[in-house]
Amino acid sequence: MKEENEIEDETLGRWLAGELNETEKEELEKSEAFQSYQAIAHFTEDLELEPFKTELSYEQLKEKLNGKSNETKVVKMPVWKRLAAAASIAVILGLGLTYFLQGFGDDPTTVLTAQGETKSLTLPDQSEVMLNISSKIEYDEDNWEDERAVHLSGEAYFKVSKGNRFVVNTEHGTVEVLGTEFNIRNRQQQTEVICYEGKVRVTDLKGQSTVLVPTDAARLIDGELETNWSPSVNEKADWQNGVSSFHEVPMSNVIEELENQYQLQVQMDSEHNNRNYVGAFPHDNLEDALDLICNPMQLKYTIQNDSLIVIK
Amino acid sequence: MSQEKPNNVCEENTYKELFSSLAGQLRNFLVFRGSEENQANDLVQDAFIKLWENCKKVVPEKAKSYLYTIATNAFKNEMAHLKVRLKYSQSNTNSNTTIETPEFKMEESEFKRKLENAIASLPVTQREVFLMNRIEKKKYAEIAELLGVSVKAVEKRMGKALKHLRKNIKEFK
Repeated sequence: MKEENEIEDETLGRWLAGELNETEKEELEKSEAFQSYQAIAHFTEDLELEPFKTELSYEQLKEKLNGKSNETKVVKMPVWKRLAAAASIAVILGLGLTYFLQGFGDDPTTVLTAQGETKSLTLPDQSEVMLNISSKIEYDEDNWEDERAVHLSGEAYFKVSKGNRFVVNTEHGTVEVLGTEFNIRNRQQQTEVICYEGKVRVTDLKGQSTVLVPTDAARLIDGELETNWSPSVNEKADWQNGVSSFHEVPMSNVIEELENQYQLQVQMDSEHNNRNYVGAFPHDNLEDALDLICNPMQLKYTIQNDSLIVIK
Repeated sequence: MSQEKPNNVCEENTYKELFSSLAGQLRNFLVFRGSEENQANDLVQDAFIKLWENCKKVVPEKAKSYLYTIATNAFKNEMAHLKVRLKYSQSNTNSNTTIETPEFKMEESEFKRKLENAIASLPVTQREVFLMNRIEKKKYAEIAELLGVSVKAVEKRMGKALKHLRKNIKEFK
């Protein structure tokens, strides 16, 4: 029986390309590992990636190029943020106008907000959505009459017009509207839903669901419904009053929200990432915001410059 | 009426054609290297912005290797794990089949899951070569040219990748 280490890497590589001669092939087929390689070759043949959205990407590229040629002031963002924000760059270079992508066959309508930017939009049925910073909402306008459904990543406040089922999908689960006003915050590994008026049903990826009435809240973590999560609920979503508030939320999420709100970068030791924070910070005063985040967590911050904060 | 072919990529139609034919594979390449999908999309656009800025200096035939070079430099992380889930195309989803070789015995679904994890854990230099061949069906010669290495190096990396995958599937639950 032939052992694996006797097969040359190169021979194995040439086998996969069908380039071995008969003698080499026979030799290889004797090895115990051969059938395993065959199975691997067979199944990897069948792999594929999500198709690339060429048209959409080209439009985004054109936006970027136009932004450049106009010599618009380029807003500096940390590179990794810039990458994460992907398409929202187009918004920033495009002078902050709402960025509608339409007209590419069946592509949904997409509305994005950049860091530090909020936006209101009206859906085809006159339902209103207020989109918080660094968020994205997608819906299919053509199909709207059959199905009122949007996909949200980020945070938004919804005022839903009376009518059929209205559904908000997030990567962690589904929120179905039975009544009117509610807020959804979907960041990193969790989605929070607070009901302000009417009734809302929240369903997780496993199919567990709960119905919320005004001032009720629910949270989805990694696709699972958490039932005993009860933040204090004000009359309106806090972000609409210029405040970001958190109830038992990992510090990494809080810091990300701060970075997006103030458009800067924060360095913090990763050991603090999973510590839970309860509190709030204002959107109009960076030092107050930092005090309110750092003091209760017994952390210290240094403002290095306009765009970099170090927290220890 | 025959028009003379442009000898650079400053003409918008030429540029757009290049985007249509190359952007997708460039995105795949970045994903194979361990980039996230959004990030890869952004890096593709950045690479094409560079191409536009240097359009006078680049003849269309050279645009491809030019773009791959930029993309490689833009995403250099030798340790990067595969961030994107690969899919198996529809043709192969009869689920109850058992994979049986002298070394493996498991259900197809389990084998596929292990295979995916094993691919994610391949070293970047092996993974990019392996997936360019398996997913994009690129020939070794083409891969070698795009990466600026010899065909022999590609053969070796493919062989090493196969060994890594087999070992990984054998050893990990």
